[in-house]
Amino acid sequence: MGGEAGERRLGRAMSFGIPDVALGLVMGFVEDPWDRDAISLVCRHWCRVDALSRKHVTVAMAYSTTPDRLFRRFPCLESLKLKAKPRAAMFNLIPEDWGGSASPWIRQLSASFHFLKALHLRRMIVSDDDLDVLVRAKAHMLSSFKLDRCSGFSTSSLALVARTCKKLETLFLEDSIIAEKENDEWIRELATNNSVLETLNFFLTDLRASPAYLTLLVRNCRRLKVLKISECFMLDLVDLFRTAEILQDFAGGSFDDQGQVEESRNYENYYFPPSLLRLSLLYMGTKEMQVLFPYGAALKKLDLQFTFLSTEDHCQLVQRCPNLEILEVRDVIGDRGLEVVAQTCKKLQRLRVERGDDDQGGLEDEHGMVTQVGLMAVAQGCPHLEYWAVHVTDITNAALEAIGTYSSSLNDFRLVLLDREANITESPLDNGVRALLRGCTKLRRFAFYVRPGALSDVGLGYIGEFSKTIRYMLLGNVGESDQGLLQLSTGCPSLQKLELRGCFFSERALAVAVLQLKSLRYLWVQGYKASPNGTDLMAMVRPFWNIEIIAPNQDEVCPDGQAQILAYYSLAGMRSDYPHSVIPLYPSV
Amino acid sequence: MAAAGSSSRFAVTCGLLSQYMRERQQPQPPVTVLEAVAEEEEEEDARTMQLFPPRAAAADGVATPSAGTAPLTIFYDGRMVVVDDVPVEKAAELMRLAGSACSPPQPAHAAALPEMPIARKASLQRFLQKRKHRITTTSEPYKKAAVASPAPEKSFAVAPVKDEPATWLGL
Repeated sequence: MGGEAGERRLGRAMSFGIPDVALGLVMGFVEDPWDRDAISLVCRHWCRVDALSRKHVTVAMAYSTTPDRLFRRFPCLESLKLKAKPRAAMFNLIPEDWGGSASPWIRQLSASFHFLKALHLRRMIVSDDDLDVLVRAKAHMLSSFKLDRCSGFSTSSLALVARTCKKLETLFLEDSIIAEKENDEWIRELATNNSVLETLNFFLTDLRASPAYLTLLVRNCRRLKVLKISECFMLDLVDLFRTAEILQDFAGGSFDDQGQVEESRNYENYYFPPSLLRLSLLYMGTKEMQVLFPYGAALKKLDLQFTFLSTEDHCQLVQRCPNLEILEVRDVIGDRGLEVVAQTCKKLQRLRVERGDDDQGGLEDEHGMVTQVGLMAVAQGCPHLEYWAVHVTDITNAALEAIGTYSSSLNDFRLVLLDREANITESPLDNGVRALLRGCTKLRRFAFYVRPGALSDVGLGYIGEFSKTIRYMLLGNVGESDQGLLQLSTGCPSLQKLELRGCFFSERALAVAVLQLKSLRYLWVQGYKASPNGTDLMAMVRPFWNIEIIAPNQDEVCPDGQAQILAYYSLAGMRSDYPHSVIPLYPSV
Repeated sequence: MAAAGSSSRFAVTCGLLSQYMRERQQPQPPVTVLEAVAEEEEEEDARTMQLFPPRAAAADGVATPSAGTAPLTIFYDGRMVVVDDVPVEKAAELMRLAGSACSPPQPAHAAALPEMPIARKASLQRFLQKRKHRITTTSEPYKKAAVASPAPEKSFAVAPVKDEPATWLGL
């Protein structure tokens, strides 16, 4: 590499030498973890300097290393993010007892990591005992604590955290499952013990929160900018909004109260703080929507996923919000709504279009559908999109090509083709996918979940060839044979995490693909051609590569209770907390 | 674009540096890596936290870099046997034997994949259930549907709903 001339150049550069002080100073400016990785691989010395100066680490899979190993390498960490359960857990596909306990981590964190100020646990099980241990050791240090889609703890632990962690600026509990949900004493503790809180988030939990405590919190925590709560009747929050002068981000509330007489609900002149930029309101209907109209021009984020709005309502509301940077909706917005978005929201950076209630037996009040028409409008109208996740009912190659042409800022694109309609306009989508990948050269994450026949083996080959920068990929119902996967796996040089669902690949092909994908460190598969006893999977057995089968739950009535494969690199060896539903494939010697 | 480009150039430069360092420290050529493995990762194996140990991982079953003996792992009928210190020739012979007895490609007895419903995020699923409940109990046109569908959980963020088909796909 580089030849003799290259060596001479390098030699001269190295011979100057870089003093440690300078090296440390320079590294202080390198924040990108990928650059940090590259630095740490230059030589032992650089690795040491990096290790001692690294402030934040994300462990994407908690079983991939041990707390002790992490501490030995990065003793000065100030911030740590840990993730455990597979993403599929957010879709109820992972058994409750799968694992992912935070206990071993919290024990080590509490005994070491003397500089730790921020802890983020995602999809983990955190017990009350864990929180007790953590608080005893770190209460005086913690400024940010996130229990992100976690479970296993109760509100009494939250009260303990609120009482003792007086430096807490961020407390995040979104989408966690928390016991003793009726007890909201923890909010009062927070209000009376903390004056520096900036972010409180318990959105999408079923915690009860009394308006009086919330108002007290807003009154005492004068720096509070982000407040995301559970359901709480909006008319009971009037005082809160009058008090929260600097509030920028609000989520939760509820426009629906079963106990309330309809006539007594009056939202005229409902007041939001003038500083408010981001909003997510629950159960908002056509009538209540008007409370937002005066604030529309100021809004940068609007989340309408959890509302009762119709396609027309979406059009009316979005029209009044020309400065949106983030918009989250269900597909009830329809092509018509997306056309309004395309005309109005020129600054849009993130767009999520979730799937509405289209199940059999679902309510037929949502006529919104998103197709190639809406996609093309948005691609042409919103040139700054960086994140775009969308559920569509129909799709064409031309729409995908338009995204490749106009949406060149995308770094994350996810498309799901729903099964509402028996047929789609065009198939296969091979050329469209090729054009999209060629055009969107910044893509880091890519999801393409379609239906059998919508992407051929040739299309998979294109994905392999044109996804140089993609690190995470989810593919569903793609390909025709093993050949497609093998073709894909000859490319994708940056692919670290791959999720496959409903693809007709054999275990043998999966094993070969794993060996060929040179950056791959995490694989999740559900729906594949299993060999008798799973013996063909053994071809991917190798040192440090943990392979686990998650057996379908026999009691489950779910039609899709199919086995899952989870495989990942790990230096921790085989984990010791397997439940019955998880079968490790690992040399047992 | 610019950021991505510069970042990868940075990594390449670091890779060059690391190769240079290695060559200076160890004049002999690096061990041949059988699988295509990123240079950086190999380095990580040797010098850092060893998060991803591709050098070992790359070794392809029996093909060990040094001649002589190596552990042999056999998977058969769902069981596994590990035999230490098996000479290369013996291993090759065993594999020839196994290969000759190997049945032709597996007949397509595996049925087609059962259909898997596209999934929905649990949080959204809970909302839709609750929404259905509220609409059916408060507005006339949906009264009929309310009778047909079971009453959902009352609270918004209940524990994962077990009796619903787990809808998947994550965005």
